[in-house]
Amino acid sequence: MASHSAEVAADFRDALQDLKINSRPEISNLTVIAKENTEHAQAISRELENHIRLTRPEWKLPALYVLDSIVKNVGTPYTVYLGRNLFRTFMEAYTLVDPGTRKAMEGLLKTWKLPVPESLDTRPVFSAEVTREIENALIKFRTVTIQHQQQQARNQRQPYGQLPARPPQQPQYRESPTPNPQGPYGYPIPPQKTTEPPRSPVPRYLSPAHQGIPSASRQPYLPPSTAPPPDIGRIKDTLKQIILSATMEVSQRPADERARSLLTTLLSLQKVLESGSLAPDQIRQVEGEIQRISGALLPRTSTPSVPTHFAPAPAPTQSAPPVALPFPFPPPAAASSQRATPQPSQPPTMDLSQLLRQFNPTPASAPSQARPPPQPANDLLASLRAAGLLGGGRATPEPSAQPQLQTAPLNDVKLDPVSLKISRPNLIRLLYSARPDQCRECARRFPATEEGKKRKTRHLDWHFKTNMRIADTSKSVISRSWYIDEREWIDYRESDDTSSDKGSGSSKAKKPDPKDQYVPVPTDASLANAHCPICQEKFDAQWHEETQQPVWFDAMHIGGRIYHASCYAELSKASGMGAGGAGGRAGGSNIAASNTARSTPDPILGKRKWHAGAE
Amino acid sequence: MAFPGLSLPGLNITQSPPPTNLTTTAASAPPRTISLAATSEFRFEASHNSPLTITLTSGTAEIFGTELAPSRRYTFRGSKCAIFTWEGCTLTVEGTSESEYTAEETPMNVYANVHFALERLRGGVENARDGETRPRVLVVGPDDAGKTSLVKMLAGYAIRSGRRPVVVNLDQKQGMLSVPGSLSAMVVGTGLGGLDVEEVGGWGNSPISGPSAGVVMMPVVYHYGCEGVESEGPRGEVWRGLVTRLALAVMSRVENDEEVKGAGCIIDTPGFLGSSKGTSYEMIQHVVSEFSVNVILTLGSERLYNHLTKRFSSLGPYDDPITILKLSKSGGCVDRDAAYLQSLRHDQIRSYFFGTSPSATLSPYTQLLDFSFLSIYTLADPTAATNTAFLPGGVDAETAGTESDGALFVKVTPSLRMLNSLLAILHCPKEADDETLRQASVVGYVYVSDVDEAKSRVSLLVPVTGRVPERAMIWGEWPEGVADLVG
Repeated sequence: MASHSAEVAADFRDALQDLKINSRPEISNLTVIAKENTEHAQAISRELENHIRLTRPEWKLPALYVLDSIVKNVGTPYTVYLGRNLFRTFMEAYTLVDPGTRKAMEGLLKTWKLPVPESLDTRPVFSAEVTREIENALIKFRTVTIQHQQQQARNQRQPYGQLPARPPQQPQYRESPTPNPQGPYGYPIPPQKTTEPPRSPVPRYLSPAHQGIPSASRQPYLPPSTAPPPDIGRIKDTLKQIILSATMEVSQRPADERARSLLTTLLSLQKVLESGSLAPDQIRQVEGEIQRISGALLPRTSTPSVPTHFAPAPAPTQSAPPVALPFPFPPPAAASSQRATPQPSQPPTMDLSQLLRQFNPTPASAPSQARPPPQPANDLLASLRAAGLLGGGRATPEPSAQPQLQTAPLNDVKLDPVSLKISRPNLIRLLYSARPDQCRECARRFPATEEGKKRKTRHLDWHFKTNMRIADTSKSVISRSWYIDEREWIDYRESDDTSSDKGSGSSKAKKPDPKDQYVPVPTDASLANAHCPICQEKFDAQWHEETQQPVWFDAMHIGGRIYHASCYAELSKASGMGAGGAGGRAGGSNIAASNTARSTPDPILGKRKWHAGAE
Repeated sequence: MAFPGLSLPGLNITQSPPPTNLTTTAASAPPRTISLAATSEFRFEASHNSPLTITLTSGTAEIFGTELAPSRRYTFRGSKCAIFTWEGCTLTVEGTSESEYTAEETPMNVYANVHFALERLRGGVENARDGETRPRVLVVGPDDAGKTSLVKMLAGYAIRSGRRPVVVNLDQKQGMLSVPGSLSAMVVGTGLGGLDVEEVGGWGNSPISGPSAGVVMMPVVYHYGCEGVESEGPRGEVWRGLVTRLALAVMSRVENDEEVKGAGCIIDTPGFLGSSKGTSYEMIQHVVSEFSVNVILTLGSERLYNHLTKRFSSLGPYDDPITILKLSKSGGCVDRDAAYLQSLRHDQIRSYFFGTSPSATLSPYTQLLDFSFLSIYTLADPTAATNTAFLPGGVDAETAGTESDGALFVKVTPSLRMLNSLLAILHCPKEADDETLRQASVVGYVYVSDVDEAKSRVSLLVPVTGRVPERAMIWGEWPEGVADLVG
């Protein structure tokens, strides 16, 4: 068993070695191996961790994608094994890769906090403790990076310790809130001169002593900049802009209570941010709110970016205009709920969730109106509009925006495993409530439009006629029809009972007279391929809705043979043969009559029509 | 063997017996109400003898992609089905089932997403280029992985999205709008809002001579007539030929029919193709190239998925890349045992001749025909060729002796061995060569109810009145005879 396990692990390792780019087939292949060998999960997990640790930085991301794919597609026991060392695996890789890869890794981490798409299991991919630990470390890491850069700027070429340039074996977050089993790593803590308490040591391996690592991976440390940490700084900047426009709003409309209250909220939010006492997920929450507000508020001066979300789809057809969205596409509902629900966390200096709730002028306790699709931006738009921050006439009024979203939701489903797993209730609605008008008899649905109504009426007529006909023919004998030949099938066109009125549409017969006549397609196969004796052409089989059988239009029985009615009419005219005579003979065509006696009397009706029409 | 005598139209002497016992069983089981939470499904197996009646009392529900009408009584007999609900519903169930339970874990989300992804290929302005990217979907997987159900779902959703794709059945084990042993294709999406979930096989009906309240679709049918599929040997040759022919018909139809063009086609396959055995990959390859398949959905087999990914990832000559996806099998898939499959086949055959729904009872006719009238061919079996002498009145010695060396089909005279089996009437003349025989589509099926070798007369059950078409007939080795079809 153990040797087998080692074998599987070795196989897996070999496959991993080849993974140098983000290649979906290879990653899914590795996932499959993992899935098929869950009994060796421990060995495989170890292999994967080792690989991520040891491989070159630029190959770490694909390997992390393998990890991601395995935990999402296979789940336990891999989540258990990989979860144990996830912090280490993740952080070690994180410190060594370039900023672009870090972004991607942060993206991965984000998805690990959510449940696996599609799965009914609402638990996140990795437990919250695991991910939170990493997140805390990331925050610290950024702070440290900045401080480090600042310090580096100050003492340009200050010599650092002489530890060998190798990837560290242990992460160095001494002061991380979770107990670090590895214990502190002994190295001198450079004294910090910042206002921050000296709790964040500069990890040694961040130093430029990393000579062996390609320059790309050192990029973040090279240019000493005074820029604040990316996310908090950006948040602050955005917030400043928002406050600015909110202030303008207040100054323009001093009487507006709501704008004023929004401004106070924003200002206090700024205070909280400045104090720097927020937990990482709270910062994210704030960031989310701010992005939403800024999206709604700032574009007033530039292009309206939020309303483009509701870009008016002029034709609410069944299929929405496909828009390729970047992968991975987070489900909007999940995203919004993530942001909207205040997450339980350590109490900060201020109750953040309450603060955030103030963005919505409606009392937080009151249940928000039941809106069918939770659209992330809607709440905010509504609240901002209520607050008078959005000009009433300028934005799309909510009532009109909502139905559009319902009838033409974005169909972004791609034929790839990840995209297919995302739950899309909006699209499912296309199959149901987008066409609310339902036939009670067969469940067929019609859109609630004028055209839909017309179609439904025709459809119900069809049901009615069919039921009548079934009642009529209940005593007559019905049998299976022969199948048509492949050539006829290729040319065959089913007619839809609701598509249009009879006569036009799929049937080519336009003239009301002889072409309206029809003969059921002869059941005798030899006759079924018969040609019109006059023009020598074959007959076109079409489905006759009224009699529910395939028929030849523009055809008639004369003396046991079938003619094109139009050909025959012309011939009779030319030869001076009376139509009455033809009709009489047609009536006497006993073969035809006997041939069709079992079926409905419609063909005879057809003849009468022709008869009357000719006279 | 009862002699049915001359044709007795409308007497329906052969109507199957269930009516008497179904009322008793239905009465014995009290109606029960089942509440389904959103995105869960009610799985049931209705026996062949006693039907299960299900009514949707509130909410919305669907069976394999076809929505159920509210308050309508649906009757199921001999079917293993699942009623799924996206939004939650209540059902009233009457009658006894062999098994029923509610399941919450389903792959429906992924299946529905497959549909929406296909919709993007179908619709959309960016794909307007000559319909080249229209989805031509192949569903492969081992037996009992839910292939046909998935095909039905994709077809059902397509219909509800206003599409009219061609559905192709290459699974000879279960017929589609026809009897087992046949391959067929049809355009779905006319009239009613889905497929006919009550019909045997769950598709609908091929046309009948009178009105029908159910789903009627026009198929094109080809006869295969063997139980298994294989790549080599005469059977393989016939199978390949039929697939090519069927693909040709479907492609011509798709090209010429504007409404069908955009919707593409969905192809169901026999479990053998998904078995990863022997020549199954060659056969998949054949289907893929004949139908220019551009989406392959593999169901319930990792191995198959990986092999296909390897095989088709480096395809040069195809402009269209082939997307291969792996879908998980639904937990509701049950292994259908031989007895169930047999009764399903018999139901299909019976329904071809007699119809199923009470509103459309069909009346076939019995005809007595002289041996000389019939021109029956059968697939030459190289191993059996030497044994012809032992067959009672078997293979025509003359033809067999001279032609069977290279010929695919040999002509046979009717014999008692044909009793209770089906003959396929082909759209080709009585005297036809191999090439014509193996490519001709089917006019219809007749059932051999009696063979009188002394008088050289055969008694046939014919679905349609009038003369039996003077066409070549194929006597297949499969499906097996149905003893109780007549009398």
